[in-house]
Amino acid sequence: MESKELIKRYIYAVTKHLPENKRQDVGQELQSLIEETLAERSQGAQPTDADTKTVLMELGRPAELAAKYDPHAKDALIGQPHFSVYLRVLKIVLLAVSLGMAIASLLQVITGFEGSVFELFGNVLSNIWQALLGAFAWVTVIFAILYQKDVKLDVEMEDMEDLPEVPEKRRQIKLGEIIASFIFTILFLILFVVVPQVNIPFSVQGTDWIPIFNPEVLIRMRWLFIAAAGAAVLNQSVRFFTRRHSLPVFLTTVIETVMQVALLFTWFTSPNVFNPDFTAVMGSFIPSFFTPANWAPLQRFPENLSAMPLLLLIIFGGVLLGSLIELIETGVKTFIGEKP
Amino acid sequence: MNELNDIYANFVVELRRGVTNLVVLSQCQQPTYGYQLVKELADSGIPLEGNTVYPLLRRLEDQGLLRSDWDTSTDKPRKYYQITELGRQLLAQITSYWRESVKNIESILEA
Repeated sequence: MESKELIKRYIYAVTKHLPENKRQDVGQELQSLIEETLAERSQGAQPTDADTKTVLMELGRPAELAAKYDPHAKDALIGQPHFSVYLRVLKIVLLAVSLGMAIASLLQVITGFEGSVFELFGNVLSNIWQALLGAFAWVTVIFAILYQKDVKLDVEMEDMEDLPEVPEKRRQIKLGEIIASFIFTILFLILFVVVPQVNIPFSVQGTDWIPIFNPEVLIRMRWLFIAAAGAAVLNQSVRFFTRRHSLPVFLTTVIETVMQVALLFTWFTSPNVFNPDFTAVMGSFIPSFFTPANWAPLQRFPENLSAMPLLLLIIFGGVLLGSLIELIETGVKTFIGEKP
Repeated sequence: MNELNDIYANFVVELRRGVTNLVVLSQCQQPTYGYQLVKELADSGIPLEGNTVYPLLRRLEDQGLLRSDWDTSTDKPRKYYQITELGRQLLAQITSYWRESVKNIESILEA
């Protein structure tokens, strides 16, 4: 190739990596520097193509030279300090999704999968694989954006004075607890939102597996379920990043509890909350316990509450109480310090 | 042996990285252009590659330590760089830091 053309191509290969406003100037400067070097080497004679190649080789690969001109350019999709947080989050998310999908697939299998054992395994594995790919993509995209946009993840590290104090033992949040509740949330989402027709499968003495809850109600209310799960994930994220009971943890716990209670009331006060087949089966064992009529009193809460069967009241109250106890526990750990 | 050479080469690169900025900045008291700078440094026993010096000049300019002018009066247009007031102040500080460091490092290396 002719010397001139070679130089032109080299400069283009360098400058195309640079920001638009720098290209022309860097290009002209490189051009003059290369020509000067060539003139010096060939001592006034016409430089040969071999000389040109040598000079360009000394300047190095175009992309590497360009990188030296633009050292602040991000050369990683996700770099530090985001990368270590990304790895931690990715591990937990992938673990939770695998477990959630495994359990959901198992339930789907129980409720009646027609086909060979191989098909069944293939089905389960491909479901898990799909879910893992999706989760991986989402986490990666989110962290890539955070890194590229320079969003700070460790706000507390700006100043040594702001380093968080080592939390008292009681204020610490164990990673295991966060992971457990995250897995539970994912499972909850999968069962009630992704596969509402399965939800909680139930079988009694060799009968077919049937869902306990009415899928139609679940489908109608799916946005409320998603919102409740979102509030839970928000709370878990705050817990994950701070790892100690603090005001943000408490506030997000309040939001999560409010969402849970709202979901519980909306769900259990809707007519036909249970699968009619399920209430029919139950009716033959414990007559009239799960019929819509027994739930009706809840729809005019609270004046007719006493008309509800004790067992249902205990189940409903139990779930409610569980949420409230968690909220109170968080409040105590947040606002009341350790005894000296 | 190869391993030692690799580590040595790496060590030298790390050592030179910061010093290069000081060297280049110090040689821009008079207007100079990339190729001339590379030659002068080589003559002074400090061989630096063009692919290090050329981008560095521009980065120092972006930081406001150097300013540049195209000289198009001859048939060979050249981009000349010269130190700014900010660059001068920084150079003075870095130079005394360098002298102090060299002195201290020398004394612990001797010991």
